[in-house]
Amino acid sequence: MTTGRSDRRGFTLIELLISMVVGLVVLGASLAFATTTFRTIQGNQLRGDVQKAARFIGMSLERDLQSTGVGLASTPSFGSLAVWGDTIVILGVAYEPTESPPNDLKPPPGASNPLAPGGTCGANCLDLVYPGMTFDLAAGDVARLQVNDERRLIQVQGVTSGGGNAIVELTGATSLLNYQAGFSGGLLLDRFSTFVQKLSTVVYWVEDGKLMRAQGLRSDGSLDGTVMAYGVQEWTVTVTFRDGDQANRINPADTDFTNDFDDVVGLRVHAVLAADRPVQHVAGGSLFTRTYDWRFSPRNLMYERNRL
Amino acid sequence: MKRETGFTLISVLVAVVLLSIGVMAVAGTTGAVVAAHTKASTKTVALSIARGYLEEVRGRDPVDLTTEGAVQVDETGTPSGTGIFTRSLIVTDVARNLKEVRVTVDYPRATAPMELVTLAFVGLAQ
Repeated sequence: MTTGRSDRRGFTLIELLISMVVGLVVLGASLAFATTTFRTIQGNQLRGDVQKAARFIGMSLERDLQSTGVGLASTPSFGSLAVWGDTIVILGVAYEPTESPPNDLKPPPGASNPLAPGGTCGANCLDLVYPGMTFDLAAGDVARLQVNDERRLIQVQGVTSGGGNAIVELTGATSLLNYQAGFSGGLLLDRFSTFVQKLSTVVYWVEDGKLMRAQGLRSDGSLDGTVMAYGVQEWTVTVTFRDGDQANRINPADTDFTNDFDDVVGLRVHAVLAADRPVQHVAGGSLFTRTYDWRFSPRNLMYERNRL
Repeated sequence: MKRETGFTLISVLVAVVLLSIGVMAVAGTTGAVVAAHTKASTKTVALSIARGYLEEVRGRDPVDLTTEGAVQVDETGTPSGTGIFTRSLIVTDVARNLKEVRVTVDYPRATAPMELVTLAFVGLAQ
């Protein structure tokens, strides 16, 4: 019966077991809590990513649509806002940093009007006079060619300018962005009423589930796009006309005069965006998707329409 | 005589109570965070519905703008009987040529409905 022995008493087996059980329960509870928190964070991140992509799309579209029709009022057959399928085309006069001026045709000597088919310095070439110090069109630029009320798109292939005169060589494209281009279809230039003005072009379209945006065209006339968003499962573009009708295309050719380019007042985009990967505890393990519906009333279209 | 040393019932109870207060506080915070997150995302959706509708309204002829009653809409702003959002439009004449356009979107557990206001120029008198 030495006292020293009882002084060095340790835990009993029972004590140890109880403390281990309690420890396990606490550990299990905190682990469950941590798992739930992790899943919540993961789900929030997934939803947040989709939301972020959607906000980016919405803001980009809104920003670009504000420049719709700047300095370029729509006519029945040529609009500053065009749609077909999943594609949106936004046209306006370029501001870099001031409004690009119209450059008048410098007609060849003679009296015939309209001029002979083709350009003034070759089959696809125009002689122009420019009002400012420098000529603002360069190779690759898109411009409008206006002959009286007839509008065409043209793309510049090369420019020689100096002393207020410019010789502009055009690409031979007969169609650009779904509009008739160049001198196609037997366009005859008017001696007194022909000009060329630089345009800014922005195009949105969907390609393999990716939303693409292109500013300007490549020199071969194709779209030079960058990816705006991934996981685009659905992308439906609708225009709203003056009378409230909605349609997925603008048709100036038919007998209905309320669905032409100059009747467009708004744009609606219905989209379904998906997350980049399925997550087990979100949307039942399938790909998380969210539906968006954006509506835009570009100010210039509205002002154009409400012009008094 | 052998002296039994250990925790008294009181000290164990105090420890348990303290621990549960701590756990409750953590659980409460988590709950509040989740609730705030849900509220924020609902509010974001309400804002996008309001913006979308305001844009749509701006595209209309300002002369024809009138107050509209409450409409139940879904998260994309499309009228739907099962939508949790309530959208309404209030148009008031503030001047002879000017209308105030107010779009409100209400949703469950909202502190205040989402409200967007703009002015529409009606145009010069004919």
